[in-house]
Amino acid sequence: MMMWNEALPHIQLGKATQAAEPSMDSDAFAAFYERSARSLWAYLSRCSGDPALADDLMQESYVRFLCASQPDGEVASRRYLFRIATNLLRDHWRRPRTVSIEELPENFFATASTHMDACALLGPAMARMTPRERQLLWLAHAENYSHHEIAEVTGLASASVRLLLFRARRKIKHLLEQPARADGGQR
Amino acid sequence: MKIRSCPREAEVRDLIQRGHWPDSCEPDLRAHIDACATCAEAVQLAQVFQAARTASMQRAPMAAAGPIWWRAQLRRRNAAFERIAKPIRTAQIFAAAICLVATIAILIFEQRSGNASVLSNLLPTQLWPPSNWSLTLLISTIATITVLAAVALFLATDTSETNHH
Repeated sequence: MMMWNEALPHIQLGKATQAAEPSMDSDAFAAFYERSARSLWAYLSRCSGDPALADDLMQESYVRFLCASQPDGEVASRRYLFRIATNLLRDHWRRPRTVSIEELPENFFATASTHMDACALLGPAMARMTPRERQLLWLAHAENYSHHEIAEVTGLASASVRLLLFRARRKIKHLLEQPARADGGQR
Repeated sequence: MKIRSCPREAEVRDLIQRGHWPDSCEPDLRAHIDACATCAEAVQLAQVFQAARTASMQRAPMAAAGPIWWRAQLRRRNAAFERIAKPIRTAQIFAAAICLVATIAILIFEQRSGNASVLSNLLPTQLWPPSNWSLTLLISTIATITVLAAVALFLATDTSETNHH
């Protein structure tokens, strides 16, 4: 721990302390951002169903990523970034006085994703999944993360990921195969 | 619930991730996918999710990296200042507490010494020439006031410098 009398000369010289030394310079960050931002936004946007929220959470994820001590290597950094984003999503859903993801109107996801959906069925199907199921499915099938990697990102146990993912897969498969019936049943 | 799994599922997912499905798929793996419900499901889901990912990524609004980097630096810097300011605040509280204790001690001491007026006892003429006890108290009080003044001066200087930058 830095004592105040050691830190005073740093302040008086207008310098940041050791803790404020950036661990990634702006060029390295710009390159990392270029490589990872689109997939992170896709993850946040699909899991939250709200592109505007995805914008905010993506920027906050990067700020927190830069403020923390980043792990070595592109893959580990990327996984760490997704973990921060996952925690931010969880915080957002837990926050009081906001609309819960379960309380969003049925057509919310369909409207938000119709124009950006390569597969128009995925939006409505995702809307019927729980937030955790959406995260697990996206990380497994869109980001191609292994159970172990998903466990690291979400903070769940690897065995739990396997079971939850299995259930989520069955559920979304059912929804994708029978969208008309599912729509009819909901309305 | 029994979890169905297939040892070739990882191979299938890797194939899709590399974009080798369906054109560059080995015939035996293709035959396996046709026969295996787990792998067929993995292919179906992977195709849907990969397509959705590509679509979402194409629509992703890319804010400039520079402002995000600077925002992070500012936050780091503020956090560092906050960490440094905390012990200074503690020192201020400690100094104020000492000052208070010293004042109370003077009052109690003067009261016990049997003098009629507390205020008259606090006058410099009464304290000079000082006894050993009075001298200690006087030095402690002056030292505390000096420390407080130094900290206040430092904080004022630091704030003006930060605002200037």
